[in-house]
Amino acid sequence: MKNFQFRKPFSLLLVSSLLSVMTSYALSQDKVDKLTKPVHKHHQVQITGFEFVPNNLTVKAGDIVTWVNKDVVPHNVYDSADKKAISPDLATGESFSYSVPAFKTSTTLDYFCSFHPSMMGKLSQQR
Amino acid sequence: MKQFKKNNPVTALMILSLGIGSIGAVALTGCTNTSTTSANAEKPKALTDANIAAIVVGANNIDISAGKIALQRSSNPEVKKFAERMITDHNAVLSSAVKLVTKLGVTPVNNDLVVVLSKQSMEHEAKLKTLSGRAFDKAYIDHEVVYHEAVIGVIEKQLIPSAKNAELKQALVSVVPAFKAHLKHCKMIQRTI
Repeated sequence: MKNFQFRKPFSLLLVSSLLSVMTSYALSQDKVDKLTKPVHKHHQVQITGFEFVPNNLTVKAGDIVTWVNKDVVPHNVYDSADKKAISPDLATGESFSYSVPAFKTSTTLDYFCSFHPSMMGKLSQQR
Repeated sequence: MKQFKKNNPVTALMILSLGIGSIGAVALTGCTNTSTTSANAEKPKALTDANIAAIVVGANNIDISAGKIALQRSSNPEVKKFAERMITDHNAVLSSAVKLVTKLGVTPVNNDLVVVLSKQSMEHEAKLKTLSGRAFDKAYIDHEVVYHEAVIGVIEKQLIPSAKNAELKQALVSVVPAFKAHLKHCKMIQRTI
């Protein structure tokens, strides 16, 4: 019994110390992550008056671009180079967020609305 | 009436933009008709908000109707896509316009332009229904180019300046980019036919 009575507080102290160390490590690791990981910005492009506003946005890989359709008609976002959809069709009030990849062959991504081909926009990437 | 026969709804729109008024009387569904006689045919008439509402409704319906014919008769994928877009977009604009005039308590009242637009649209559609293949595509797209140019001119020069209600005026301003985008689109297709 004696031994047991002696060891219980010691065990609690040990666990408590371990938890404290782990917590402080996690907190410091979070600070390190914040300092070392790139900061991804969120950008918004409004689709209004049959235009992408702004129609030229400077972004970095990993940034998030959100297109918001404020027109009364549907729009979408298509890659001008391969004519593939970046966004689904967006009804009035709908939005779509896109995580910008690292551009490989160009510093820009030109896009357009496949419904209204005169509507064009561009993402320009900082290296 | 003679002076309008050889053309299409575009003629009527152009005449409105010149400020020439009354021509005839054919009621459109859902609208009250206030056309005047030929006695004051040359006298320009001020457009009321109710007239403007009727013109907006009429102009959108005309393009929806032509689009439906194009979907049936064209086999050109670009023309069909454009026609689908005209139906979708003009229905959306129409729906938005109807919501607004309902909210404002404005009942569309036909004026002479709407009457002529309606008549000439029927003539244009009758002509389209006799055509097929490239001849159809060319007639449809050529008309869409001229029609959208004329509608933009009328909205900017006649409807916006005449609108009394601020919300109606703003709605007209905001619809112009739609017509301009459609105009650019049909001009792009026109170059390929």
